Amino acid sequence: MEDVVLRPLDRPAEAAEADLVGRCVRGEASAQRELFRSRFAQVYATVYRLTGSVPEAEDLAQETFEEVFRSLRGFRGDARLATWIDRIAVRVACRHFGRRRGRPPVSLELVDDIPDHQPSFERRIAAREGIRRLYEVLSALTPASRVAFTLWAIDGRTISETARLTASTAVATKVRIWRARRAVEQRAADDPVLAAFLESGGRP
Amino acid sequence: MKKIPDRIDVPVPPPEASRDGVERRVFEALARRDREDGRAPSRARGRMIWALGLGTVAVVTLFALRITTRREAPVAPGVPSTVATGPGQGTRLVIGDAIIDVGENTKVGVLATNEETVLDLRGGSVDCDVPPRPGRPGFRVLAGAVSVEVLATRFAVRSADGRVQVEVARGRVRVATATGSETVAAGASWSSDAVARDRPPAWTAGAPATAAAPPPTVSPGGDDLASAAPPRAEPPAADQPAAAFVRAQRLEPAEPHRAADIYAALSRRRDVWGALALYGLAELEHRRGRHSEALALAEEYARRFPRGANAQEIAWLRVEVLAAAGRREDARGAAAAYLARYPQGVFATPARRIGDASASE
Repeated sequence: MEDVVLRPLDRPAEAAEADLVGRCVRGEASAQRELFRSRFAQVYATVYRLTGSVPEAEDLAQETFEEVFRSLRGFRGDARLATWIDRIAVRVACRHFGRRRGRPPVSLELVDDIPDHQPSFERRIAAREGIRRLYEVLSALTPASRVAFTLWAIDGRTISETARLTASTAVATKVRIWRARRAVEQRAADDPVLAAFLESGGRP
Repeated sequence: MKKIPDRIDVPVPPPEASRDGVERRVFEALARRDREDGRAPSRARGRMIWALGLGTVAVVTLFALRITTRREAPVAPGVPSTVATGPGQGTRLVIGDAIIDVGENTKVGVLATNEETVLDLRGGSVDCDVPPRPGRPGFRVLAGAVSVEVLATRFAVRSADGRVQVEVARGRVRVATATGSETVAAGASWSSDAVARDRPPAWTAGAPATAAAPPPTVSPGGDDLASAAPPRAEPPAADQPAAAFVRAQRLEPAEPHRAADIYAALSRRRDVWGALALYGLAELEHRRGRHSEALALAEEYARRFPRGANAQEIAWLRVEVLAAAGRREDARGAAAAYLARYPQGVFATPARRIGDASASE
């Protein structure tokens, strides 16, 4: 029996992905909804961590998916769809920060917006305040430093993943992260609330 | 300086709470784009479609409006122009940094000056893609007695049979009528009852266009009370305090004075929303550097809601405001008072730091 060599599209997950993309490009509404619903949580989590704000995250998620559907014809399958969408989300966020640079982030979210696994009411308040002050510092950074730091420190990406998502080199990414860390540390030196939040491991 | 941890945990709110609204807006935008692609004969930038023929021929008339690319100079100031399209026809205008797609069966006047661009929509629809306005000339669409002022957005205005509809795809607009104004956010829409066209034409030569009810201006920084202040928001309906509170939160970054108005109105309530609004207002004034106002509001909260949900935060806010105002001794006293009342409180660690810093001086 001759060996069967699997071509890339023979792998079931990638084949399903290619099929979904094709159906979306042909304008099939159900496929577009399926793509949106299967990727929304991923996009929303990324843009929320980048912005620290529900209204901004909703706006950026909307803009990301509008750009995804506009650009889907150009998706060549040389990266996974999730990675390609991630790059679009990061690009949309960078543009947004470039427009908004220096403006303070949206104010405190309601306490109930923090998930219920938080251990106590007081710790939730402390977490909310610490997070708000952290994003206040981040909003004053350059968009590139802010995005690099957020992807690495808050979204939990590796240096190489962060570099790929921001179309940058690992060295440049490290420099941006270092600059952002210094800014946060300098602010924490004068802000005991932020310092206390970060000292708790950055965890509520 | 102490090093920060390599990983910082920021919990993400449940995406389900946002998904439906975002989905609706994304697919509305897709549907709109598909309609435009099917309707507009050409979408190439910098070109106009001239209709020829008799009867249902679309007549596009430009008097002093040049079609420009984004890189070219804006239209000659102070000179009005009119654009009219017929059935099945549409066209695209580029005015400065704004892109306006004019729908079929539409008649719209254009007045572009150095200070402002105004579209007078007499009937039909315009779909506008306009960058944020702070620092740029204003941009408004007039439809009857309704004025739609751009704050930062993509939006569409439709006017037919005296009825005006505004749909916002991205950003925000302020819609003003003779009875008041409100901000319409992305994904939301606004519609009027039959609007009497009882105002004079939007322009006279050289005069800037105005609506029957001049819309409030937005100062560039969104934070400058020295510029024209917007009308005070009406007190929120008795059954909508939550919606009003969330609206105020969302207004804070770009329009803190409007957010403050909403908080102030809500704070007159005696319930949990009144307390929350009073706390929100105190925080807002602190962030705006208005120390006296923030302190007064903190004291009002402590007096009216001594056991309120944010009593502890208010007590700490006093410390921060006093420190920010340079009143170090008073800040230390407030920190000590906080610790006396909340020895294991949320802000106990920073409060002790202030006390330790005082002891080491």
